[in-house]
Amino acid sequence: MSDNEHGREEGGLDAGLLAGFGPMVGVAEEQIGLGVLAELESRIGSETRVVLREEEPSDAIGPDAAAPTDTAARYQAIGEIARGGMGVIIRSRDIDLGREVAMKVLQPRHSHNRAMVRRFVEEAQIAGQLQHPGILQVYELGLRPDKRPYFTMKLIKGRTLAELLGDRGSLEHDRRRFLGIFERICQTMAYTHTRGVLHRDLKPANVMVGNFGEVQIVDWGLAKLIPRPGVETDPSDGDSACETIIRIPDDGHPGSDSMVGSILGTPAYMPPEQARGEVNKLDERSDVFALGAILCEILTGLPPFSGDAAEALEDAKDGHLDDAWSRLDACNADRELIELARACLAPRRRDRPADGKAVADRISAYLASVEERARASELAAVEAKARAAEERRARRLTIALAGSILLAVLAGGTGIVVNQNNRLTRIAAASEEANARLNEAMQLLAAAKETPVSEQYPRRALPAAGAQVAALQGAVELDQETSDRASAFLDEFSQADRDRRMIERIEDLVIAGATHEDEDSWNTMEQQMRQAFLDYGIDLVELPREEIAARIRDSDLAPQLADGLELWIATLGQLGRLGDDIEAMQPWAEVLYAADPDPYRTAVRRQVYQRQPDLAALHPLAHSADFETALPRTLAWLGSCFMRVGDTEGMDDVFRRALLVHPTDFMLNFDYAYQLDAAGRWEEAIRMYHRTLAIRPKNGGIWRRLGMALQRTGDAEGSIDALSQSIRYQPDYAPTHVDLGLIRAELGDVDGAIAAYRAALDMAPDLPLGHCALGLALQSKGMLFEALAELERGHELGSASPMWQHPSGQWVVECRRLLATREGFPAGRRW
Amino acid sequence: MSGHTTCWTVIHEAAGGDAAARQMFAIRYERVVRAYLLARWRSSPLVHETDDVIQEVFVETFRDGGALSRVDPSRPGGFRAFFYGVVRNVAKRAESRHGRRRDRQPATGFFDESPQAEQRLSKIFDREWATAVMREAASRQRAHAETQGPDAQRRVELLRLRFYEGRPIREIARLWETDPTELHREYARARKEFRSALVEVVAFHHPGSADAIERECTQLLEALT
Repeated sequence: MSDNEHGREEGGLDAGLLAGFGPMVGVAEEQIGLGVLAELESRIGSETRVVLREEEPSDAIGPDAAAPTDTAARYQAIGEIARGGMGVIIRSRDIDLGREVAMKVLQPRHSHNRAMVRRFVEEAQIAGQLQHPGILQVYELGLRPDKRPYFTMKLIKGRTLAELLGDRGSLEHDRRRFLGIFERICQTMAYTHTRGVLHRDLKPANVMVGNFGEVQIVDWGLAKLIPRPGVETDPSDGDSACETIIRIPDDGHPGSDSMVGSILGTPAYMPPEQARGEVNKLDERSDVFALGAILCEILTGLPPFSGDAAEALEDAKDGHLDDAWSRLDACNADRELIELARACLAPRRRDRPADGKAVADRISAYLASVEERARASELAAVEAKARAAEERRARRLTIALAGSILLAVLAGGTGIVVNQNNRLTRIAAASEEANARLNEAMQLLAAAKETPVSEQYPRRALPAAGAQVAALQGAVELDQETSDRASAFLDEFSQADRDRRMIERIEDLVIAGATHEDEDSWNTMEQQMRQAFLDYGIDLVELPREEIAARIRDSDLAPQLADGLELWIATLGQLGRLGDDIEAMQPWAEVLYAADPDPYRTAVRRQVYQRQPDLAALHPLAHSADFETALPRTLAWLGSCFMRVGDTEGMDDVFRRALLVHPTDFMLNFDYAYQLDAAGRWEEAIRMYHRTLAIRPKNGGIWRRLGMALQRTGDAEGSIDALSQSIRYQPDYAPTHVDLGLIRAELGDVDGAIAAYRAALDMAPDLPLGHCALGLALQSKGMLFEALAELERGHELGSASPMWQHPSGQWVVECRRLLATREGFPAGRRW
Repeated sequence: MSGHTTCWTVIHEAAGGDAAARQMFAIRYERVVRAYLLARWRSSPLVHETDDVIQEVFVETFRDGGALSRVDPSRPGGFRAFFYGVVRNVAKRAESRHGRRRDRQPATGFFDESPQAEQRLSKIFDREWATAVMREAASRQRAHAETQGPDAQRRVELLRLRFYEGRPIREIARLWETDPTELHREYARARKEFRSALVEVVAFHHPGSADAIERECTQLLEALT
């Protein structure tokens, strides 16, 4: 073999080894990648291909990407967003997918600079491989017709952290929110450090805060793979042409521009080793310094090095931080925060926290402790109010009981008097005392009627008062007038007791219905609510609607019965029995207006039953004088109307003011938690669920919702605890067992998950999600035949319900495909 | 599945209903077929029927009186050429069927049937085929190393670090705290072992004389460059 042949053979073998051992590339992805990179290769000399550390090393074959499309005519430029030293960011429209994207294009003046092209492509590759909510998703890397490389990213609508910090009225304004943003930045950097990537230019101007609170770190143009221990840095570092760039323009702080020459980054936020150009010493702790610099700016209003560019650079080189220390000491923040900032800003690398995760852990622990303190304080306030109310009523009960005991004593005493005096005297004395007791009992009854049903006391007090009067009437002889009063009281008591039981029944059903969201629960509630009305003498199915409205209006419980009717209507809607359109609910809405004609409640209901509530009508309702005296349920409906039109501030305002008036109303607390949960504000929702549980600590439905909210925040352990509590108080509710299984599966405990699913199916054999979840878990264990049977059963049951929203059909197809492949059949529909 | 030694054995066993052989066949070749069809139909509505047509390829390969009954193992190009023909014919059949449907646009609007296009597709097929063979060779080398002990396993890891992580040999030497010259020798040995594994895999897919196998190895490596 000649040298040439040998060289060719070796080169070929390299290609074979790369194909055999290299990263698996999807078919279409390879075609796109090769297209762009091969084209660039001809200009920059060698193909640039960055491969980050695996999160979990795996040989799994990734799914093939979609077929490539012609990029030349795909994007329509809308306008420039920003311009830096290396690239221009253009707001563009992806015509194929009909969405707006941010397109970063290499500046024309760099298009023949090989190092700059390579740096640009590496930025796209690094950002493209970092899959994290805190990093803008790169959609595509491509070449424009003028051969300049570009990449497209998700377009985030919002402002930079630098802008937000600059707009603060005072340093302490919204500090909690900014610390939350800082926590998210740290969590993102914790992730990138595990993937072996340094950002090297972290600063508030490179943090985007979206309109919906999303926090994303941008501009990975200076990003670099972390050198591994014992490995020298690429000698091209520090003197490559791509480092001779002036990057993001002035963001308001002197010295905030990235610098020219061998020093990369932004002096105001730069660690000493970076300022000194010691590129080979940069590691995770260099980004940690920048994190400390951001925290310093949040707390003190300025970054650590705050002179002009040259001064800032000199201060950074020398690690001259006296000014930053003084500002931190004077900033009036909690000690933990100042200590964290000082630790991150330590001039010597070894004195700083090790990486982004270490900083994230510390800030998260701090915020959790603050949250815990706030929650404990809120809970204490709620409990104190509930306790005070209970004590007030308990005192009244004690008085009533004491009176009746006194009466009994008197009655006994009166017997002796009878023997000694005449009967009339005895009756007069007994009647006098009885009247006094009756007066108290009647006051108690009146108070009980006015007391919100959610408060526990009347459930015990009213029957006790009724029983005392009944006993009193039978124990002694009373004059006719007193006897008539006692009989009238007992009639009224009987009606009130019946009403009270009806209210409690409705309330229990409302709570059960609101805290569970599955078809079985709704079906049960619909039946039970209908039965409750029937027992109360109102047949919701057979009676004409006008008659239903009249009977409710004529009862003493019109608001509460209307509340129950409202839930029953909503349940019919959820079950699809009124059609899909809110218009179909209008006849029932008219029944409500007629049944409960209170003007304020009717005005709120008219908004509830509109396709789109009218914001112009909601605001006057929220600020009406009737707000203070409105029923808590009415206020909850009002708050939900604000939510429906997307006015979250209005929603917050209504619920917060309503809770000032009704702090211990269970449903009001719960409704606010529910709205926060639905809005994705899980931390706040969790706090409200805790408040709700302070009122009814044994409500399994709330524990379940708390568990799900905790799970959404990533607190799997907390979630399992909450779901376990839910099961403790409501052991027969199968969906909670499924929830618990899903979280166990997420934590890798597949056997635990399977046990939970089986427990759920033992209780509810026709629970579709139980079958599907069990099928997926069995599939993950390779038990494909059993898995397919469960998935098919789940799909069959789920498909029969209009509420089923899970892709069970796809699960079945996928399982069949796996089974077919394992059994030797290729994928497809015909096997 | 019995102790098959060549792809032909596997195919015949698969055609005879052997589940394990079918599984092996599907795992080995599905990716190659998919790559070819996606490249062929990248801008056509047929791209959504890829899964069905992949299945049709396998049906055509295995069915009684199908392509297998007409195959001549001694034909130049061996199994790769045979299988390429099957895939291409099934794809053309799908295109023809698609064109006949009244509610669709004519097939000619989507499919480029020029010789250049066919050559491009053939190269894609060959490259994907070669990639599949190389991965199988890597897998085989790993399996051998498992039985040969830590030194052989270390050489496989060396190839992974070099080609998966893209680290230079001198960097790996620092990482492992070993002499770079010695590591270069190990690297050369690891490459030879891969080459041997490749020959074994090719012998399976392309049974024939040693020379013919060598030629096929060279062709496959060239398809990747």
